[in-house]
Amino acid sequence: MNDRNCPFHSMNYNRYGMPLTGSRHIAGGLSKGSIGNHNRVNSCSRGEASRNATGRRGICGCGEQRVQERAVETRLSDMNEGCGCGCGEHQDDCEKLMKQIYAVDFALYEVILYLDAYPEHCEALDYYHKLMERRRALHAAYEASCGPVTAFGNMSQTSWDWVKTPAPWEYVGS
Amino acid sequence: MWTYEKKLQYPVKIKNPDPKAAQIIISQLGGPDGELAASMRYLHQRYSMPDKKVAGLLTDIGTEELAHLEIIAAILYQLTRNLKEEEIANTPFATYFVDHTTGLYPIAASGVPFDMKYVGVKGDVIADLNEDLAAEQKARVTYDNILRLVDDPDIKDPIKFLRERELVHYQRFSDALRITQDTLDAKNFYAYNPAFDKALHRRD
Repeated sequence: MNDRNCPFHSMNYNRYGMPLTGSRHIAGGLSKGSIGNHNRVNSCSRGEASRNATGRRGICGCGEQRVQERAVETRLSDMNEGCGCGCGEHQDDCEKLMKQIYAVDFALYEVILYLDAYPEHCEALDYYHKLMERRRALHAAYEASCGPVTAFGNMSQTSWDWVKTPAPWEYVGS
Repeated sequence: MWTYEKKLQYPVKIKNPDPKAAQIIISQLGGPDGELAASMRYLHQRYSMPDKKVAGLLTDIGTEELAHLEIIAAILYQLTRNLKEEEIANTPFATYFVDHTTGLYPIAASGVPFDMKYVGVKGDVIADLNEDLAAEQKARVTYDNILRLVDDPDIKDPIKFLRERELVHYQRFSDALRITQDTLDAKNFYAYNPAFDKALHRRD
């Protein structure tokens, strides 16, 4: 269906679902590598050089190098909410990211169930695509440094993190 | 086919184990109006739905009910961890514990194991959708009863989420029933079974 002929099309989003005014800030940091070579409990080692395969260095005021995975860099290029690179805060970053994933997945499921009954509702479809962009970015950020969300998202080349991260039903005390 | 996401749909963080609450909440795992019954109901009804929208809705709600089953399991797992013998003995949980320890076995609070008899798949759109509406309300009542019997806010939080989802599902099934009634022949409403007869397909 051609979006431009849709009477409900809001034109406030570009064709990737990103808003045309204002910028989106997605909280949470990206820190080095995969958890396969990263001690999640005692956090990262400050000062350790960290670069991904492309050798890119992220921008961070606290002095620790951060990396941005190629998959997310075009979508999160305006991300500047919090440095997220302090030692001992890696787990908080993952919790923060996961909270945002809970929120976007919840909204997505609502619009999915609605679209099942009303498949031609353009506004709902636009909203779906907007949420999907955010979800892809959040998943990429989460899988880059916290662990896979599905078995198809194991980023580490050296460790099958899929079976190493805690089970979702475990109690994680704060 | 199904892909599994290694996350709950809603977080469960229960600081204090409580086997007495677990004994009550287990009805939403294996009871007549629990999440296992709901997911089996919707995921099996979808095959005989002639309207793709209704089949799609049943698939998506059925999948979400599996996710809710996992939330209930997480609640029960956290309620029954690190138990001492005196917390189990002489409580209603003891009769479950003797057969299942702290494993998670789909059973009702009364001790009746899960039974597929709780699930109706009639192969008729009107009958099946009405069953689904009733099922969502019965699940909502069960959650209301759990909220009456349980005090811990850590437990009440995910239970309230699950209760709200049942209400939303009820509204979605109402949509599906209305859509179905719009597409059926108004004069021939109950005279034939659209899931069985090909007439409805020809209408598309």
